[in-house]
Amino acid sequence: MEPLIDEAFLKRLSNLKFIVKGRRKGRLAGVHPSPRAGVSLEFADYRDYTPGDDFRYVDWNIVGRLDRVLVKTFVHEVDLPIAILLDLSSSMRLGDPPKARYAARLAAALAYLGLRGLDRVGLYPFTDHLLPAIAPRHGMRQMAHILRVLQPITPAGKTSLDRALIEYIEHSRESSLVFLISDLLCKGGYEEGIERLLHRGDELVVVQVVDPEELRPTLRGSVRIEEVETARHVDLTVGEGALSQYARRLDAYLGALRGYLADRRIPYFLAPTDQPLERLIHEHLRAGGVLQ
Amino acid sequence: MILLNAGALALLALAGGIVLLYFLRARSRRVEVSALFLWEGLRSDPRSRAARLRRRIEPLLLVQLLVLALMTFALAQPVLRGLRPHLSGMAIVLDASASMRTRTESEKTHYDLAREKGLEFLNQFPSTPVTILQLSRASQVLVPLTEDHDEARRALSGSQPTWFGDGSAEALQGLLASQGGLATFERVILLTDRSLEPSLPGLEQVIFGGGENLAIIAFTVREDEAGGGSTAFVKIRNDTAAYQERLVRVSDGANSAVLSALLPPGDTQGYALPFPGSRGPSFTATIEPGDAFSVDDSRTFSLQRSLERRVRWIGNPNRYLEAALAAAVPITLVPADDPDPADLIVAYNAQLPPETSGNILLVHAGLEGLITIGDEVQAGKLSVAIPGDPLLGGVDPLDFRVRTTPQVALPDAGTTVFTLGEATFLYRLEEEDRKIVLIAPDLLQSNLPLTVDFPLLVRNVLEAFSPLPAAITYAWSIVGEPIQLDGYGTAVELVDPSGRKLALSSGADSFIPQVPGVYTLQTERGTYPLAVNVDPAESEPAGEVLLSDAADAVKEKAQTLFPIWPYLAGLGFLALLFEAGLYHGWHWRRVQ
Repeated sequence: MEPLIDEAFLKRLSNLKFIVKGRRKGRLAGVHPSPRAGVSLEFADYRDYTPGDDFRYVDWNIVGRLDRVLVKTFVHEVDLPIAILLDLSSSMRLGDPPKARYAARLAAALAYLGLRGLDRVGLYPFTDHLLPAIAPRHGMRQMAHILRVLQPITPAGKTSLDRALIEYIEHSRESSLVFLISDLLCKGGYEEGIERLLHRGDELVVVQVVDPEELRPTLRGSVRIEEVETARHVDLTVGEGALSQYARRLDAYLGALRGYLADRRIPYFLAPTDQPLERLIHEHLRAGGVLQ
Repeated sequence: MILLNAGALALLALAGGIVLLYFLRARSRRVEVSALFLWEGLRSDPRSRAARLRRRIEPLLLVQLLVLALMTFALAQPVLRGLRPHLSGMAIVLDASASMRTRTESEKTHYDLAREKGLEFLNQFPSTPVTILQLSRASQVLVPLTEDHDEARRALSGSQPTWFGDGSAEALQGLLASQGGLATFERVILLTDRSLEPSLPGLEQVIFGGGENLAIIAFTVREDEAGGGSTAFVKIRNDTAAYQERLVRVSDGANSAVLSALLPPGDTQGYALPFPGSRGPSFTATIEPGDAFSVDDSRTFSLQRSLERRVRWIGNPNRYLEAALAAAVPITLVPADDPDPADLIVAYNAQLPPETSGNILLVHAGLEGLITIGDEVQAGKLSVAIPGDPLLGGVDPLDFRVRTTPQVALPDAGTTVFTLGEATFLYRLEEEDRKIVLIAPDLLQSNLPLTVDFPLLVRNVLEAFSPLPAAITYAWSIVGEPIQLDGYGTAVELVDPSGRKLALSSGADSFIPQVPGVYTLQTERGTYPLAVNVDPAESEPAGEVLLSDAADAVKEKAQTLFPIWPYLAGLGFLALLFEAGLYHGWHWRRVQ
């Protein structure tokens, strides 16, 4: 089987890192600023000396000028927990290449970026419930672990975003930067999960992976259209008229989704599978303020 | 264009079925989508129903209809009316002599090339009556004059060259006469490797060359007068353009003699190979390594005598002596009154008449007027009179024990080889018409038959008699030439070189050999090898290559029907393969 990502692709990602909005409450030392003061090179503030403070941080110039004993405080840099929620329902197997393959490559790239930035990265595949997950960990061994899971994925089952997101919240113990990678072609059913995620303080990024055929269908004639997850179907004679109705309906759906996410300042990216992954990462994710 | 089976066009109606099935299949197309809610409630597009028909006419359908059309037309058997080369008659004559077995550089024999050329002529004149003839010393008609070219092709392809020599112009004339005469044929084409001299009027000759050859053109064997061996005479001709080095090997089946020969180009050399210890009577000469014409790389020769020694036994029987003789050479005992000459006369406890001639072994026996057996006396001490005598080769006479031995009166001209005190034990005498060896003691008064040296002694005695009666003739027998059998006695059985028994009509006094090699003739007088070789004239170098252009001689043309349906069927099959590839290609892409 063709590898998900190659070395040349990874090299081109090496100058990127995640942008974090605000200060995060990480558990381990890292490169992202934390609300707590700590030890780093980045100056934060002065405060009065209290017995027990490290003399090394007493600013003796201030003592000389103001006759006050002040100590310098620094920004406490912590790591960023990153959770990648990957939709593996059967609708993700459609397309050429399959949406799941594209989504897996994106997940691998994001995991690499996180791990390279000394962050902890976890992978949470889901369908209508959370599948066995890979808990967030540091280091490139975690990358190999994630790749072993992503390489042979076989999408199956129905989707329930709400249920999967709620199970994720229950499963994880800390707020994280959450990437939700899904085709999001479900009529509603994601609002409650997203609300609860935001309420906990997670930072959410949504990437909607779609097949170009779903955006601009080319099918014509008498067809039986069958939903892959439920096997429900409709029989149609598809022509220009039917396709323009479809386009209007899809625009309305995507518009509503975009509006909902924009209201909550959640970055949203539409990723057709014919768009090179590199372009999505280097252009759209950077332009969208997720990467720098 | 004419349709021979126009009714088959009715099969075109199947096209309707194909189109119907095609659209029925298209109707049942199934598409999987991620979200049905985007499609539910959409109105079917009425205008697309008509457009769908136009769009669904895909290349696959067109190819399928094309396959049907091609196959249907092929079944209708269309033929084109046209003009083809035509002659009033054509005779294709294949030289079937042995030299046509010569292998060329392309590994094909001259005969293979002749067959191919013959088929080419048949193809060029498809409607011409044709006869296929084979010319050699035993010429024959392969196919009488016919318009059935399939039969002619079969006969031509299945024919094989013979082992006979070249045919003559008279033989060819006879063949043509049997098919209506020379005037019947507008073209008479001889496919050969050697120009026919003299030729016939109007005869076209296609001559095939190639294949360098060294040939044994003569081979004979003479038994040495002194006995114990022979000398082979081999004559070799180098028909190549370079010096050739070869091993010349002469074999009698058990022993062989070898010499190395260097032959200048175009030269003929004769060699004499001493062949001590040869027994014959059948010999083979070969040159190694072989060449393009392998037939003359090996020749056979046989002395015209029986494989068995004819032994005339006179006097008392003695199974020990008989067994010792049979151990040395195959023997046939003939009655004492048999009129034919014997190879050996054995007398035991008997007296031979004075006129007895030939090879004579006397054991406790005499020859009237020459050797007389007297009273028995006590045997004396064993003593070798002539050390190193050939009669004692390999024999240790001191192991012999003799109780009594007769007093023998012997001529002084002979040689006493071995004595028992004063008495003679072993004696030999050579006269003009006879050789005599005497073993004086009675075998029953000695331990001779029980010793291991006794068969050796008997073998030495037989060696001393060699050569037994000389060969009658040294002439070669040639394949295709009759061999006279009357000199060998009444024939019982004849076996060819491959071991197959040949039928002999009663009273037949000759037979014509068909293949080279050593035949075995069984008569009531014994078994005789008969060496037969291919005519040395077949080893003559091939003629200059000359290929006739068949198209030059087309004098008139005739109307013919040219079938095109096989081509249509072929095209239909190819289109079918293309359709299968197209379908599977699409299917594969769809799966991907």
